Amino acid sequence: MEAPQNQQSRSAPKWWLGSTLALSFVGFLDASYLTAKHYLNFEIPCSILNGCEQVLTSQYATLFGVPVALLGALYYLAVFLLAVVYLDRGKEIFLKGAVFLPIAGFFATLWFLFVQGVLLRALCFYCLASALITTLLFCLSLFYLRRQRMH
Amino acid sequence: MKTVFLWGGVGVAIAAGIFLVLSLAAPSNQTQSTSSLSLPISAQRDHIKGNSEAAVVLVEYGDFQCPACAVYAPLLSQLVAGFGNQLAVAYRHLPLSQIHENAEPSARASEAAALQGKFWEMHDLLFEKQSEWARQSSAEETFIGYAASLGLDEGRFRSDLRSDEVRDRVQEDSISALADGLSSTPSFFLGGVRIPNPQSYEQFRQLVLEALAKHGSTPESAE
Repeated sequence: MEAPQNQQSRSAPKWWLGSTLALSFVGFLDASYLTAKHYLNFEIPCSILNGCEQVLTSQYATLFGVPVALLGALYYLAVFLLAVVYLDRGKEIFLKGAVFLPIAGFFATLWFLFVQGVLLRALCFYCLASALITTLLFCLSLFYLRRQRMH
Repeated sequence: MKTVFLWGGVGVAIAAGIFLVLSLAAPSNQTQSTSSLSLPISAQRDHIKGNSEAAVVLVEYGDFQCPACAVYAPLLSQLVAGFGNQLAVAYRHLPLSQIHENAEPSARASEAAALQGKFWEMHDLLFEKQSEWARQSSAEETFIGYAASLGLDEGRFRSDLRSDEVRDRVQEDSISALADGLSSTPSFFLGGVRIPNPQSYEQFRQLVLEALAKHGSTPESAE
């Protein structure tokens, strides 16, 4: 089904949609990598190249036994798929999902930055990359909401 | 038609992404960057658990603040117990000071204990209590407490802990690790050859059996 062009361009410019798709896909790869590290390695070796082992083996790395990296991967995948469905169907509801999910994701990111910087005092490169991606997605969401209000 | 291309593209992108991620995250079974130890094993210099004349020696380059090393520690003890006189384990220092602030002081603590003949007791205690001291701003006082609990001469331990001799001993190990191209812990050498980190006790056992076979030894027992 074709998206009504006028509605789509009014709701979300092409660059906005493209950025959301690209960022959420890279975020999905990043979080999937951390999830795979969690499941595939007996123990994650400590490396001077990134400080992830302390973060990924901490008590904050799982929620009810589920690695938070997996929840992150599902979150990015959801944003990505919502943006794709919107691109395909042109229905506002899917766009709204892709706008509001990163707002929740941003608050989760603030918590994880606090955990890494204050509680663990250990930084993980891949976690910081995810924080940056979610922050950019959050900025895109704010841009969209501001634009909506102006219209 | 557009829908088919769109979803087809999405499916291919996700599948390719997952494949890429899995291949990057999987533990490497490839031959490591260097294949043999640059600093030969020495019964006089190295800290060896088990028979120092054993057919095969497993060398670990470790960091007492590394959680993975703490997990491997009991596995190594189990291996030495399982293979009796045929396998020995040697521990060398690779403190990752860039990411672990207490790695180098803890390595010095083990060397100070070694000067009083209790390297392995301190080694085990440091790993057991890793979470207690890992994030302390100054862990040396904690290590002095551990030394006292092991019955070491506290005054001597305190001065050894900060001595040049102990500092140099730790540094020698680190330099040999760098010469071997190591940048992560734990890193293992079995029979002098670098091995990828085993993912279970059983994998470890198999590798030791292979090393023994290569050496021409018949395993005594290895449950």
